[in-house]
Amino acid sequence: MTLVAAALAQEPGTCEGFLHAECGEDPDLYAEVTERVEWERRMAGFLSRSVITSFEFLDRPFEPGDLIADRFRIGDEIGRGGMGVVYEAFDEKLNRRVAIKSAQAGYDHWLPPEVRAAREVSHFNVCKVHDLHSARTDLGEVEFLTMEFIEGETLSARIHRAGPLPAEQARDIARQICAGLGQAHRQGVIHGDLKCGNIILTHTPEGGTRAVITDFGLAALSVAGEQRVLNRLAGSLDYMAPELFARAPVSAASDLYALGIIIHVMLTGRVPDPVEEPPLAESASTETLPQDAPARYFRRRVGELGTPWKRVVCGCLKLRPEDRFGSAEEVIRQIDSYRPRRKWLMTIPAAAAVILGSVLWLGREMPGPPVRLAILPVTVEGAPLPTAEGLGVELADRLSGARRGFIVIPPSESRRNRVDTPEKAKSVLAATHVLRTRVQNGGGSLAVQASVVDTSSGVPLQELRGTYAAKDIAVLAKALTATVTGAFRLRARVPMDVLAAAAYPAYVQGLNLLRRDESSADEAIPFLQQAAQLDSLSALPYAALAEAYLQKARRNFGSEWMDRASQALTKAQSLNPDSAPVLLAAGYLKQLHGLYDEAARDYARAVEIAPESVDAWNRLALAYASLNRADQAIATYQRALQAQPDYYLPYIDFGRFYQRRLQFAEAEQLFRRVTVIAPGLALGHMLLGLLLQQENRLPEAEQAMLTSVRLQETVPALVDLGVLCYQEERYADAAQYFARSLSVGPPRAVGYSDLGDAYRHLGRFEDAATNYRAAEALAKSDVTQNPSDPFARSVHAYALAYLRQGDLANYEIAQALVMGRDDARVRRQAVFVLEALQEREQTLAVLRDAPFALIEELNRHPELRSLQQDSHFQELLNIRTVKP
Amino acid sequence: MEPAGEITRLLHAWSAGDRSVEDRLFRLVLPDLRNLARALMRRERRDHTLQASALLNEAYVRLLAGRQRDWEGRRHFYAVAARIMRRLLIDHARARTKSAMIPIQGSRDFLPGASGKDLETAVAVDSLLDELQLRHPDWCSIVELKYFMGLTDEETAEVSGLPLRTMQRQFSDARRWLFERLNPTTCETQSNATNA
Repeated sequence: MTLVAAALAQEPGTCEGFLHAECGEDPDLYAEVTERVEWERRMAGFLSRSVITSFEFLDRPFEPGDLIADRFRIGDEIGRGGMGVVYEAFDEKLNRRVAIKSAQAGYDHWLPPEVRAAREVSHFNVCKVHDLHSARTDLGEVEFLTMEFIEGETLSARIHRAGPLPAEQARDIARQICAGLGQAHRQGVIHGDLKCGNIILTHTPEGGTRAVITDFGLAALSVAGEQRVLNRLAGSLDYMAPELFARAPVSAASDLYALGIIIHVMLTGRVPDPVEEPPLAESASTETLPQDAPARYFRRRVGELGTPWKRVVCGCLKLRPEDRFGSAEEVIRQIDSYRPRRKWLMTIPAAAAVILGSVLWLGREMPGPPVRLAILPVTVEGAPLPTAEGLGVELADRLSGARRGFIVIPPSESRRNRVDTPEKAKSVLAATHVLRTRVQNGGGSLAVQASVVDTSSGVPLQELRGTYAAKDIAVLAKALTATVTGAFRLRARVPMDVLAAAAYPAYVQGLNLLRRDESSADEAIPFLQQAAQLDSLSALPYAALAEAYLQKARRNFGSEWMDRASQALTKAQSLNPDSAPVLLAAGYLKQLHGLYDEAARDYARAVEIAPESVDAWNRLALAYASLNRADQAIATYQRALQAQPDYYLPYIDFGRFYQRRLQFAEAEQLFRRVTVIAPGLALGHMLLGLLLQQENRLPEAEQAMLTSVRLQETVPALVDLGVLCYQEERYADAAQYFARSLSVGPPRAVGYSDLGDAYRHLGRFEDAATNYRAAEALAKSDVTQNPSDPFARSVHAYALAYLRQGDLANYEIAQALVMGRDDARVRRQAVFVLEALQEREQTLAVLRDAPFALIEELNRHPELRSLQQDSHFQELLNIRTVKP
Repeated sequence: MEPAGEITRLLHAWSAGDRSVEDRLFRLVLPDLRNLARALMRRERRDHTLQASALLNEAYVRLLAGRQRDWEGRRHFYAVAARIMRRLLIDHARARTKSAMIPIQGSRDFLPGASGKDLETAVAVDSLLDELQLRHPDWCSIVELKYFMGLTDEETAEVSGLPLRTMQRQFSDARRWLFERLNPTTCETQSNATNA
């Protein structure tokens, strides 16, 4: 056979001679070898190589269909990276699709601390890493990461398929990558292997593109051994910053270098050519390139790029890390400084522009750094000045959306978070600037001192001093506006909705009251009516009145208020139908009538007019959510985020939307973002804590809640923290929080019965009884006041059940269920009452058509161990656990 | 019966020609075979020189608890292992390549290429091996060891108990036999000396 192999290795034409020479005088041998050679040629390597390498499945730690770690159902293999196999999977515990990235067989099955750090990064443009798990396989213990499942193609695949991207799209994607990268860097997480293959492009429902950076921190995996260093270089050499070749560690600056390459690839389809080819281009590695490799090998040609992009890319590709852009945000600024004028202005017909409602900024945007201006509540000395608060609110309305990156935080937010100094504004609201206004009211004459202060340096940028007549507060408003526009060189705006000076004080005061909370309409209405009387030609007071009436209608379900809202709205529309406040009120009215489609149309017009209004976007999103058009709702919430990306409120609304849909990963990402944007905001930490609790991630949940309570000790926060401890069967801690909640807030029936429960578990039966009695008395008076409130009755029933008054408890809970079976709180309460009364049959009847979330929650509740073991209950649980 | 004893018994039955025990053997040996397959695959991919016979021996010792010291039994075990490997791979390939397998026209198609094509070839070869088993049991075993298990010539010769050249010649004959059946049009004019 060696003869055959040798013959096959001969040049064509020389084979025959070779065989004659080799076989000598043996014609049989010659004939056989010749035939074999002939056959080998024909078979062309057929079966000569083992097929075993084609069976990639052998190298997979998991197989489709496997259930690993008791919760992840493995789906298809969706990719292979330097590190391991990526699968689509379904998390049966949290009912969500995830991607699973395993460590490859033979790759030691471990994941380093960098990956653990990457888990903390939460951003729309960063693939969310959920958790680390491990599973036993026939390969031994395998660790794997679960992460957000993103359906799309990589940026490199897109460019490979469709060529370079149009500039506008490249700009959009570059901005998104910068945003995600910036967030990670702020949290101290370096990517280390950024490249087009690590960016996934996916569609947003509205047809836009979402760019997501994946594999944060995973670079550390691929450099853990010699073999892996080589693998890594083979893949990402083009993206490596010069200093990495000199063995410097990866850094934010080396990530920015890679970003520069990515931008070049997006625009041209190629990495920028080096000015001079390095001598070892083929086999370059950290081993073979000299540490002091000449700088010229790393200089790149970027001449293909247009002028605006050249500066962006050059700023990233500087040879020395310290010469590059300082941060991803700086790259965004550089990109944005060339942004063409915004298109939406052009869509408004010229004729309509003259009578447009609300206020508009016309003309080109002035570039400038991002600003978050907190308008602090106006402080008044001397005689009281009732219009002062409204003044701040109206000012915020006027200024918000002055330009991209200019965020105005209204005084209500400052007040809610007890922010009254530049320092607090910085730490709680992440404000870069504040407007503080002091008014000395000396009987009709206002001495005003106002300043715009930089919260980092404490330096005032612009000051205003003057004396105004109290009735001329509108003049003061204009002056304050000018102070701010002057400080930030904003363009003057063109107010279309004019309001007479005389009506102004009443209007701003009414508006302020209306926005204070959900039940302030009563106080606002007289002021707004007065404003409408004083200037019956402006749409603004009528629109605000309509909103106020609707707030009343919504709370009392009274048709009378609905009628009044309609009338006010009709009047407002007759004055200016195309004004954002009027459209928002109109949409709201339709929404309350269930006309979501029409409401959405009004809101859509409002966002066209006032695209920076978070309110408008949020309402539009809510309308879409009501229409079950989740995709559109999501897209719209995203627009709300874009409208004010550094403002926490839209993240909260969006997060709650996801939470209602049980999309916990998405909600978590948004709530975490809130805690980053506004680290001093108690609400953000609380929402995160409650979400984590819902996911049964109790230790993390407790941490978040503790942070929240440390920032602000509120009744709901204390109660939630107590409930969490209770869930963990730490009854002493629970009792402490429940007791604290009762001492900081008013007496509540539920509060006392919670405390009673905790004492009961602690064996302090006397204390328990005392608290149940207090709960019973309060609940009874609640029921007397509101006999048709099913929840009050269910609370009453609960206290009665533990006071051994079974008959009464039974009666009350039956009443509650008749009145409010659809109320999940009532149903939940009923379960506890019926279990306490040992009425298992009835419990099961109550649960038969209950929402699954409730059944799942009850399945975790320590109080209900006996129910949980009931086979009928387990059936209910199982029916729902099966995937749809 | 304890697994080691049962495997021994099944091996004896198998070597005596009882193919009905294959299913049971398959189930008993599969977990170890998967690991072996994985190791062999990686060896092949990375051009490592790793002793497949050592790996096989390890599996053998583990499965049979080191009881069997006779070389004949060991050889049977390797042959069974290769058979099981073939089945493991083919079951998987069948699931992957859903279309019905028909012999592919033209030898070009059998050039090493996309792995999908490789799987099709493997399935096609597998379907012919039962016939080959009847005609030339030794060839069949060699194809299993070389093609499905990825053993080197030397390893194959060693575990088959054949001189290297003899094994190589038989493998070449076996490939030719299979090639002719898979490519009837290109081969019909050729005489079939090897098919006698």
